[in-house]
Amino acid sequence: MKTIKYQLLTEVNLGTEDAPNVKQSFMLKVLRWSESNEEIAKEEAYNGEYTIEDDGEPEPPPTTEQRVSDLEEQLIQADETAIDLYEAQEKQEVINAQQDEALMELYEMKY
Amino acid sequence: MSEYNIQMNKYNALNAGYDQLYPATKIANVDGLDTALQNKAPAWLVSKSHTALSSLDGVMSAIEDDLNIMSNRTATYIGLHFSADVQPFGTMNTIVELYKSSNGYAIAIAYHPLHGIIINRIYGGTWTGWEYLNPPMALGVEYRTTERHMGKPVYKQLFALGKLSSTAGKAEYYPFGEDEIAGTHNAFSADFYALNSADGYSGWMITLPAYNISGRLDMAAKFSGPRIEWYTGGDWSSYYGYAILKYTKPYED
Repeated sequence: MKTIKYQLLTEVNLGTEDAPNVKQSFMLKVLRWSESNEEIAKEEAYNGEYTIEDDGEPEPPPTTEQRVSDLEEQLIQADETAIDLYEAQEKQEVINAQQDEALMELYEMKY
Repeated sequence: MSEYNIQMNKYNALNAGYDQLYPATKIANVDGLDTALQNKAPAWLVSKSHTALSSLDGVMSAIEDDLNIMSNRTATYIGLHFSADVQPFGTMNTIVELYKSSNGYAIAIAYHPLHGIIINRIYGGTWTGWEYLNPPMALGVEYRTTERHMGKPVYKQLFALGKLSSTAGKAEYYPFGEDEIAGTHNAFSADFYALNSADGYSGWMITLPAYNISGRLDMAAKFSGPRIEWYTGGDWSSYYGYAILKYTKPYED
């Protein structure tokens, strides 16, 4: 599994504005690798330094929460597809009705 | 009896009663006689001022000096002024109330304009170190508190964890360093919160654990051994994580 590791810096002024006394503290932060998490690392890693490590272990299977989340996402997409289909079908029915009317008018003109 | 003698008798009567008065009463009742009564303060009240102290050792040395000249079961107030290098005080004037029980047993209570009440005790000849009643909880600062857990001093610290993960899964943070050995800092109590602002105090705040409207877990966190583990159920990178740990140091002397 790939991870991103970097040092996170926290700075705090323990003095006053007139007599500042800035204290720095560092903390190791480890995130699961993804392109978006790498962007976070680029943004907040001390001196922009981070490492990507792979421990050789397979990616962990998605958690139950992740599966539910994925399912919800799929359901949303299915809903949107169904709505698109319904709207397309409605449009087709309008077109069919217009075609029927046109055929009726042609028929009446002929006879 | 001459007018002079009458005044002297009044003065002597006041002076005799003065030794019995509480300091606050003294200030209220003898207004105008301060000059006449200078150096007449009772033996138990020793008011001193120490200036230009530039180290915590210097502060403790000044307090020790006062303790050494105090009798047992007496109290005093001393004024301290020091530079920014003296932590936890910083640049500030502070009043310290000192009570001496006996040699090697005393308590010093500092009334600090910025940090509130900070207490240091000496028993058996050893100072405990300055302990906070209500620490100001600045980011990344370890505060020793007056609280105890299983008899051990309790420390409190607020950690900023930066942006939360953009992917579902677990992130790890090592607040006591990556070489921390589990058990060196035993965090028996932890509070976690997420905030959609980097300043640490404004914005939309969510305490953990957090669930969504369907009851599904959005975020959870724990302290485990040497690290903080923060679980996110999805993209929470628009939020910043914070942790407040209360811990003891089991191997502390």
